[in-house]
Amino acid sequence: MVTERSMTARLFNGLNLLVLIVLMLLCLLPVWYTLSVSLSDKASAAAGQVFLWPRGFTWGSYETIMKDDQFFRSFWISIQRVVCGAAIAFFVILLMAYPLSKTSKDFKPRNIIMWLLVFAMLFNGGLVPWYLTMQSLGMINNIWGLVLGGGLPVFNVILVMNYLRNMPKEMEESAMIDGAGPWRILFSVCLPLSVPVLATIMVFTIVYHWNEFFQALVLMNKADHYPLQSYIRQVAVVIDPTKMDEETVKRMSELSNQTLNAAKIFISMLPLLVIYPFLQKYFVKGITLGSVKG
Amino acid sequence: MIPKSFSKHFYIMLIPGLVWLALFNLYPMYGVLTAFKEFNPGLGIWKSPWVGMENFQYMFELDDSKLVFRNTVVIAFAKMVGNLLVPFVFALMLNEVKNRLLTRTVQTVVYLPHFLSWVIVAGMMLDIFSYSGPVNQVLSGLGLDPIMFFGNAHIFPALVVGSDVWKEFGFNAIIFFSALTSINPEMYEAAAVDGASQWQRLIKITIPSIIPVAALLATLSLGNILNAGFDQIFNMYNPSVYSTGDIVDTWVYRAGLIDFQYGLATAVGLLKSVVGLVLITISYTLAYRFANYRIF
Amino acid sequence: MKKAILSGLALLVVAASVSACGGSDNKSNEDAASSNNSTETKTTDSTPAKEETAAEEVIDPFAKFAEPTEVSIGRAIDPNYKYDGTDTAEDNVYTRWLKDKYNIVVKHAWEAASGNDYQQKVSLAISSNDLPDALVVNETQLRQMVKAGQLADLTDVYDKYASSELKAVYDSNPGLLDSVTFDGKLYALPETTLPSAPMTWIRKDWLDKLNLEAPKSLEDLGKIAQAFIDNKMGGDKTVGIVGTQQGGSLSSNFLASTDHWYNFSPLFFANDAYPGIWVKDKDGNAVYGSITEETKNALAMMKDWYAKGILDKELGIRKSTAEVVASGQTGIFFGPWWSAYNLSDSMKNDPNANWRPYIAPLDAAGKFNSNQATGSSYIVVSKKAKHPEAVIKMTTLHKWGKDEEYKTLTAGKEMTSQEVPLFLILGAGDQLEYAVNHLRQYLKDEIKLEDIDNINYGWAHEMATHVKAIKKEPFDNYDIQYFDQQADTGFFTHIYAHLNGGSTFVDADINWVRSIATAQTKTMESRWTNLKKLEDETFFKIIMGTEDISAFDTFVTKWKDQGGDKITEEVNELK
Repeated sequence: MVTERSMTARLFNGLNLLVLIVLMLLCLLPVWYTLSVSLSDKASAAAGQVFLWPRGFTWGSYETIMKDDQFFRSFWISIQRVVCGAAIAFFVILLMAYPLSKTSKDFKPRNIIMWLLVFAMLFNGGLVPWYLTMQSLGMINNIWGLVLGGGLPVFNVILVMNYLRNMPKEMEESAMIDGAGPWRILFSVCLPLSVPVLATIMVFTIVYHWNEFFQALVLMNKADHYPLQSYIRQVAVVIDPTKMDEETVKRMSELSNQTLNAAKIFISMLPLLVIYPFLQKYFVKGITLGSVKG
Repeated sequence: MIPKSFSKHFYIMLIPGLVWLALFNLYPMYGVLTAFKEFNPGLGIWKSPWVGMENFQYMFELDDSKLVFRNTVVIAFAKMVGNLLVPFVFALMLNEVKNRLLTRTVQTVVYLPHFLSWVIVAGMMLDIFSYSGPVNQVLSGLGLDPIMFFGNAHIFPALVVGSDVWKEFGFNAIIFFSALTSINPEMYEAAAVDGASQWQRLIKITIPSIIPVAALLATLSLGNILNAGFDQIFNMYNPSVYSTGDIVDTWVYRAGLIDFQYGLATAVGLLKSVVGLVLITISYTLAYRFANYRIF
Repeated sequence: MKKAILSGLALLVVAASVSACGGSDNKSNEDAASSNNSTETKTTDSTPAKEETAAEEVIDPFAKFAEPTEVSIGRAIDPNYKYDGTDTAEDNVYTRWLKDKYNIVVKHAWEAASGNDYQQKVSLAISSNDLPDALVVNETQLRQMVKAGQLADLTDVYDKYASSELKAVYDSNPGLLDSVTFDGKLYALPETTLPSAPMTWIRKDWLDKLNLEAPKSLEDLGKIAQAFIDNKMGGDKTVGIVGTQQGGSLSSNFLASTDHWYNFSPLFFANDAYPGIWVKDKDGNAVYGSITEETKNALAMMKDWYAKGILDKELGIRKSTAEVVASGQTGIFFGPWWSAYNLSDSMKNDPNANWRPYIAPLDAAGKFNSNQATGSSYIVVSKKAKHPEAVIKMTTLHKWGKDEEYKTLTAGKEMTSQEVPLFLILGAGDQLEYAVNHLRQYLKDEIKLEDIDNINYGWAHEMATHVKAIKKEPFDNYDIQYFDQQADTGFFTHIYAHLNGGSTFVDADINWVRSIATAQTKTMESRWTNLKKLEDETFFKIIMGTEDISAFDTFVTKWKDQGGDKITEEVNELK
């Protein structure tokens, strides 16, 4: 009786483990696949023979990238964008989330502002007015357009606001009794306690800025100013053959350059893949506490 | 109790955020006027002639607009369900594994796809599900006919939903992981004393404890019912799957920027925003009523 | 990869470098006129800096501006193109020559990768009314700009500043300027047509191996494709006939009439079906080709072929048709004569790959049909531009301003769209024919090198100086083994494309069908997108078997109801 139960339990646990491991491998697939293609020779990749293992192993693609100035220029722009974007988002969101985490009794316009934020998150005027606005604000062709152009990250504000709202009130109250003003409470009481949620929004912000490619295509007048994803996309671009002209014909004949594109994509994925495991413990905590009471 | 004197400092704290919001989110919103105008770029938005509700009338005449709204809701709803169910089950499964190192490793790895952009993932999907791709090789190995996955309007939504769930299930499971860890271990101990099996413990203790979390998440995601994922679909679709795969956002993009039907495109986009606002209000109310929880 | 760039460039060169004038035989008057002009040109060039104001009445199109004159443009660039040294798209041999010699300073308002990114940027510039002085746009964009009143009326500046050569080109393409004249005002400089009809390209080495005859009818073609598959000529995964890839259309249409590469136009044409263009029915009324009984038959046939596995199972979904051709998985595709420029990857993978074009499949009456191509690129000038005349001049100079100094500067290198701002294809339609015929005659020593017109057909002359090193005997057999691929690698692709692809096209007896409408009508502006979507969707579904052929009739009814009938009326008025 007992053994039978432990048999089924063991069977269950074994199966369970197997499924989990398969799921895990499934998640590694894209990175592995991209890496395989990038290390294969052009002909094998073009013939679709590469899947889980490189064919005709070569470092050629990576050597080509090393000689590509624009790749590094764009890489640097992406880094700048991520750093500036994260720094600004950090302070603006923190400053904004704190007052909004108060009840409307303590801070009257709180609810109105919250609804305004939600409204701004849902509605937009379309690409053309946005572009014109960016232009009149002098955001064309410079890094600030990329950093600020996406607008206030409302979702992240709500996340931090919720986290602060769910923090124990006692610490704040005792600080107040000690005579601390709002600024000191924010920076010496709330800030240290909200490290997880701040780390979480930093992860979101970094991922967003690193992967976003569309804005630069609109805002930048030259490929010299493109961040990495925009640069990669324009060389790995899918072409619309309905607008076929001689230019497109030429570019299409270059599309078989899969291996080089794969190498570029792989390098572009790398920074995020390297840093996220280290931020993991923070964003796990932050997401939990920011959205739902623990 | 927060002293009254704090209020003015609160206003100051809000300034940077509100300025950012006003300049980059709110100001460009005058563009929604296009929905009520016959936009002429030569005249600009302000000076273009008003046409009242003409764009909306045309929108309701078009079969396409109904279709894209339907597709959007179907795909978004399926994603919503998948993105709750799969992470839920996954978290339960992982919870049964007692080896800490293994749990940590699996968790870390399944977060990975979340960090990739759709441009990359969509490209991969097209490769893997192509006619002579690995999936079809397996099918033909089993003696089945190969399937044109991306050419079949019946299958396409499933691919969209499936790949989205694949990409996000790990990340979405985070909340469930933490809900699971917050279950009082004494309950398990008591159950073990009563001789409850692993299975019984799962059914009687674990699942009931995290159901509320799932319900709350479901309510919260209601606001996303019209967001079927532009980046993803834009990189995956083709004309043969328009009937099930074309969504509001892709349609608006094509109509507006490629075909210069600004008025129509803005009208459709505006309708989407309004529905979104209504839904968020509903989910706000529901969460507050039934869970006493304020979303924001 | 470099090769691919070269071959692509070559194509541009072909289209651009040949000088223009009327037809070679029947327009001898114009010939004489334009060679006169060319001599004039030479003299003008050697006396630069002629004051513009000095000639109030007769303006010299080749004169240097007195002051540096700035022209801002939006520019499509190729991110993979390698310039000489530190040159860029904005500052290169060509732009420096424009500046030094003519005082025209080209400034880039913005650059974007050619293709979608460029189109998107142009559309954005139009929508936000933030236009540079000049742009190259497509048909939809042109109409939108006219409607928005954003364009400069070029009627007068064209009259005054266009050189007689430029005018001769447009005069020899009747109707071309009319298509860009709205309310009596000239709003653009259109490109001339690159001659194009989709031929069937087949691996002749495979035909020979299987002892098959060249195809004539559709039936022949189907059998050949089936034989290629059955005999696994391209390995286990042999694809019968490849065509449309992801985002592509099944056939060319009236808004993209030159779109003949890698799609299935010939399968329609051989059924006397002309989807996507406006044809006349038996009563002489305009009818949209996509809703005819012939199109239905063509679709039924394609559906059948698809089910049999003859047509690429991944049509419309495949990321790159070019890759299938390059990897040797297929032996049949459709494409115009210049497709030969893009076969180098295939030949690299398999040096025996002997691609030959065939004037097939023929229709039931034994005719080879094709729609007639019209151009789809336009140079437009913003209303706010200060110097529209500079744009006209640039267009002239690009083709007829090339003096000795220019040749020294460029060291004989052909300038491409990557160096030349506002690049437009201009020519009189007979450039290919002249080049092909003279190359053939020259090979057989029927004419001498000097007999080839170096002034008006410079490119033909240039190729002739290389052809003898590349083409081996027999001179009238264009199989790959009769070319020396290594002797002169820089010119091999040109010669191969002209002799293999070009000659078949030039010799062909083609039944041209011209679309009644070549631009959008009023109702199309609001309805066309949705109608086109309905059409694409239905056609793909029928062929791929997810819909029955009866879906075609439903489509026709819907199409008519949703604005098609109204549009047909409007097109009838155009006749």
